[in-house]
Amino acid sequence: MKGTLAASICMMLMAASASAGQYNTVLDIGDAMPSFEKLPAAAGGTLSSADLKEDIIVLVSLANHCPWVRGMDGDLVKLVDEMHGQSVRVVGFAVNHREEDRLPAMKKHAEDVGYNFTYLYDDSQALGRSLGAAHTPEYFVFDRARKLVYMGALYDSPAKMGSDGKPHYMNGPPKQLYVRDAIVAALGGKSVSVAETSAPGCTVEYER
Amino acid sequence: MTYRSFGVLLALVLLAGCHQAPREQASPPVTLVPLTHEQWQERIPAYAGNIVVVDFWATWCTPCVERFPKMLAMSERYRDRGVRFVSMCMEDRDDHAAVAGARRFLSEKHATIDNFLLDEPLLDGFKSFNLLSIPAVYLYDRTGALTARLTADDPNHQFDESDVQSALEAMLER
Repeated sequence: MKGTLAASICMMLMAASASAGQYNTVLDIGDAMPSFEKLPAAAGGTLSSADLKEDIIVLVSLANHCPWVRGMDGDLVKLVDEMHGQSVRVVGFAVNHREEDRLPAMKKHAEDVGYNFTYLYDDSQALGRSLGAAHTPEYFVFDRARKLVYMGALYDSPAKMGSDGKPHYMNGPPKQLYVRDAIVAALGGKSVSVAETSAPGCTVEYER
Repeated sequence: MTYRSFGVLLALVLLAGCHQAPREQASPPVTLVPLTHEQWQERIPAYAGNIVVVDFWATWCTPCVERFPKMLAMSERYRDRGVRFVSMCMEDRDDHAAVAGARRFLSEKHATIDNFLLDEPLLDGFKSFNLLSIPAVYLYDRTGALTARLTADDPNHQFDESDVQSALEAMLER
């Protein structure tokens, strides 16, 4: 049992010091975008990473049931609209195995909310693991070289869906639009000023 | 009905009454006490001599809600071994319907452990407790030192009740 406690403490220390990023335990800024093969999309068909031809790729960890996702859904849709005409591709993905987060529910949620981006399901959970995506929502922005330039929250005031069915910004109106700023910088070939933030939200439920 | 069968019936009724009455009398009320992180730090010494297991949860967290009864059951199992289970509700304190839902849930589950409600803005609470998401379980040793921190922040190191139990057993053997 002492060994188990040592392992627990060790896990604490690892989480604190051996993280690839400040918050992400797998990826660090500058790492390559993980590849994925023929993941099914909520709207039908499949998508592979090799299919992505745009300059900037944004991968977003999502889960239908999560109030932190539902709180920011509208702002994500607006962001995709804003990037229309630019060489930017936003791809959402979900990996949870609970029924409300699987493909049939994803299809309904995407239609209800008006998702204007591809929303993939990865039953193997490999994409989430390779990104170190531990929360929803959590964003990963990759540049033309498919290197990670930003990971974390959409903005500095995460929105959570309240019991009243309305999104509530936890820090008041967002002031720093991290993902938007990262996209604009990457499109302009500039460095991203804030490259990593924490992404408070729901836990992604990985199988052990 | 014979005297003998009446006697057996009476004994059964009395036994049933004896079984229920002490339980009702012994059950303390379910409470949900508002508390900031700073107040929690000040409160830890009150548990001195006990190992303290803090279960961070909220009604918006589906896996937390699913796990909660298992934590309560574990609390019962360790009650006589110097272990105190505590729940820390990470609800948005300004979402009154959600807080009411949390109270209702605790009552339904007969959660007679010490139940606290984060009494500060949710993100401030996450930050001060060093959390990015829940469920999460923290274990404090008998001196009040945070000894084990179980979170789901690493996709390759998830935890469940068995890990809580393992950490607890290890602390009890020290």
